[in-house]
Amino acid sequence: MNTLTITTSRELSPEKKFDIETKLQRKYGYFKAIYRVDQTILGGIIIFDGQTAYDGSLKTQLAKLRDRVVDKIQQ
Amino acid sequence: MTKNYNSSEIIKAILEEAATFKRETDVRPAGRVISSCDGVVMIEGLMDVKNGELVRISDESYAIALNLETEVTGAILLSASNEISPGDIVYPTGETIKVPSGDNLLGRVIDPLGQPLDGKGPFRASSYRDIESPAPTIFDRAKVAEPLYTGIKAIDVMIPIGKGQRELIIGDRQTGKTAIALDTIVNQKGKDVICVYVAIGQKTSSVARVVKDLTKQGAMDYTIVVSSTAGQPAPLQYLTPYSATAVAEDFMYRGKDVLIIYDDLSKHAVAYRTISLLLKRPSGREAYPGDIFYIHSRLLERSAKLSDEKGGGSLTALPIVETQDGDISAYIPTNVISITDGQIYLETELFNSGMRPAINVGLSVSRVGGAAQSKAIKKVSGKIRLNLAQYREMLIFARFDADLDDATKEVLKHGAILTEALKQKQFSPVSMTDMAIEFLILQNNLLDNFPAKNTQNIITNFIQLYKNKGLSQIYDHITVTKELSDKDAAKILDEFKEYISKIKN
Repeated sequence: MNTLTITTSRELSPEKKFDIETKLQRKYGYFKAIYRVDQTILGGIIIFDGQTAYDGSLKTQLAKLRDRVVDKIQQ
Repeated sequence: MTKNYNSSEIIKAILEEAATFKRETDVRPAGRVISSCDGVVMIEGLMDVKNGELVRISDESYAIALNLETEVTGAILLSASNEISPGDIVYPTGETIKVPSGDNLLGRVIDPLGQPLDGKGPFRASSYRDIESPAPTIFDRAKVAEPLYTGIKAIDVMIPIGKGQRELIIGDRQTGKTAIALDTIVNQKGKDVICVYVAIGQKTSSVARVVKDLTKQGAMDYTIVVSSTAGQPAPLQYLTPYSATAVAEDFMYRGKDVLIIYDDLSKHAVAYRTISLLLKRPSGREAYPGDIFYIHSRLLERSAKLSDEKGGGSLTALPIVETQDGDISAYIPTNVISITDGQIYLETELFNSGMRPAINVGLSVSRVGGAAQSKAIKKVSGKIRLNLAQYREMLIFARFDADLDDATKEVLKHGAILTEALKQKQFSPVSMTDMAIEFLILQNNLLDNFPAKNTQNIITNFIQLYKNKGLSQIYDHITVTKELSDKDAAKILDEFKEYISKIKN
């Protein structure tokens, strides 16, 4: 059985958690969920399923934006 | 090269990119921390991570993957472990650790990851190099033929070191091992040799003292200090010599001559033992892991003299190993002795009896030897080791104050003079020419009528006068050609004989 780590920047309400778990069940079947709160991701959600990290955090998106800006300026 | 950007350009770019930005989930392989204990992190997941790969646990925490197993990866943390908790996500970086290098590092003190430690602000690196770079191949190398002068008489005359050689400095604590290393660095002033001093697991106060001494002697201009002190995590101490070697290699492959000093490899071995035991690897003799030889052999193999096709640069290594109670047959000492091209053996007894540098010439050796000596020195170094060996044997009889035959008295007399001549103060390097003249005089036994303790004064004063007086031509000739012709030698000896007859009266 998989263990999924779900990281968000703020504590999720029980309704939200139920919502997410239902959606994930379609892909993973039954799984154990570990919730982590990490303010440094700034927003969004990161889901790790034991092998792959699905990173939808605001922090990573901002980092990508920054890389694009840097590339553009250096042209 | 820097280009100056004005702020309106930057703002424009940000607004443009933000307008067209599409939010995309970033999908990549990762791992999860199972346990974090004493700087060792066990990680599940992390498929396809490579041995020695750098992994990121959070913005500040990086670790190196060292134990690769099917279910779990063991990694060693490069920083303090209080930021890590089980469940943290670990991202592979796909790269091995690199360290910055370049001319801007000269005069700086850095840690093994390239961060400045001297409070002088950041520096711009001209290149980055893998910490674990492969050693030069057989075809890339040339013969070790050029001398690297330490400025220490006992070494340059009897245990000469060549550029590209590895010469071990070994002895008990407080016998002057670091002092020899520092003297060698100071002697490279004006000789176009870059120096790298590597401090592994030492007291911060000791490293501060070294930097202070080198600055005072004017040596920091061409020296880089790479340091991880005793309070740093073991993984960082373990990486230090490899990191420093990468910094040095950058200069070597650009055709420069580099000297690197590892102070000391005993502490390095202890740091690696710590990591191995925490990674639960099987322990062997003295609790060291099975590859304790390999960590030093692969390090020291990176020192070499390169062929002309590869730029002709060189990396000379002076590793330091500390023995306990003079035991050079212990595990780490025997390992490193078998790797290096010779050793300089320092003895506590000699040190305490006033013989400094406390080099035991009998047990010390340089396997490169005469190939790395100027012709001038080769000429005058003839029987000195033999004379000293005989002297040591005869010393026992001298204590009895018995009736000795003349031959024995001769040996004792000359030996005492030689021993006096080999004493040297710290930070007082002697040039090759001065050494050649001094040992020419000693070789011809011209000081028999003076008490042994006056040896140094007599010779030093003579050389001072000689340099400035009429025969300074010969002095310059020796310095430039590095040879001592019979004619010049005869002239010097004549002058000296005249000099001592004058001072006798």
